Amino acid sequence: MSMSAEELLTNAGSLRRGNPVYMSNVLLTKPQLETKLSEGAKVLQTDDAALLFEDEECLLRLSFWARDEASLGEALRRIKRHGKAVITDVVGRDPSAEELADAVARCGFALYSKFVRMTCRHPKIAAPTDVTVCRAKPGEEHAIIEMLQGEFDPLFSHIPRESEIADAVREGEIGVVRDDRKMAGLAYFERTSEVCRVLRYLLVDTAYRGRHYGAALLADGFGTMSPKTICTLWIGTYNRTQTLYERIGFQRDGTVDYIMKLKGGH
Amino acid sequence: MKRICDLLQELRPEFDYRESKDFARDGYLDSFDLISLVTMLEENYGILIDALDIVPSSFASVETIAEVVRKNGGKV
Repeated sequence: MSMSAEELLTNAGSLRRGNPVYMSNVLLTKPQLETKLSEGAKVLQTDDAALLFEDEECLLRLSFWARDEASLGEALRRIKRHGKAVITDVVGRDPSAEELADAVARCGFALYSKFVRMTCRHPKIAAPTDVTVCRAKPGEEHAIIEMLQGEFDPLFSHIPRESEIADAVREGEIGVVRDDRKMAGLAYFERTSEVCRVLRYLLVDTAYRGRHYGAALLADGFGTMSPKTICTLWIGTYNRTQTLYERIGFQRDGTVDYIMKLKGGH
Repeated sequence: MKRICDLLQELRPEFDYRESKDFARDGYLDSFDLISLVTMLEENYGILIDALDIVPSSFASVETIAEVVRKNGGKV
């Protein structure tokens, strides 16, 4: 269905007004929504709900606005999955995020993974003296994406496109450790503003673990930060590395991401 | 205004909001924080913020946030 961003937001507003059981997992500005629609996102509209789908390589990423659980459930039954997993994120602060995730689960989704956000002002870690970290070079984009795809679950990792990696390489945001000229590990610190960095990915190839490459990559990235810099990262609650970040000084800031997967069909 | 400052502090205590002239541009509030902040404002002021009011410029400063709250029927 062809629908403008303004129509979609206006409809969402009317579903929401005076309705305590309104459900949505997304807060998009009109320009953000326009961008998604221009990039090919599809809308499924019913009388009481709207679903927005972004078609990614192996999944459909879903945003929704619905009058209530029954309306969402009814709209979800009309989805054509084309063999893909349907993933929706519920981001926010508990307890409201958890309540929405529970409601989404009652509509046919299952909790697939849960991430928490951690932040630290000017983090520091001792750099191993015998490991050299270099900037990733133009031409290595494909190898970087292959490494990320080999390590992270595509259903929740938002693996960047090659153009995004190329920008990050150009900006010097990706540090790499090479071992015998092979890329053994990488850290991607995205600079989101003058004082903010996001540790998007930290990865050491399994064949090279135990050599302090991870610590070297972190120390290199942290070393570029000023005392005012706030570093943020998202980490799965299942991930044991969380305790490492806590030792460095990162703390959970209360924002969580429930990654929900529609049951059946995939 | 103090209530808005308190909510911002609760949301991202690591930032000194006096140092920024544009919270969204300076990265103090990302898209995830906006979701939480809108929910917090709605709960605290008993209002519903119109989706079309949710643009980054509305969350640039304490004053612009207060303006959004007022526009949607809240008393600041």
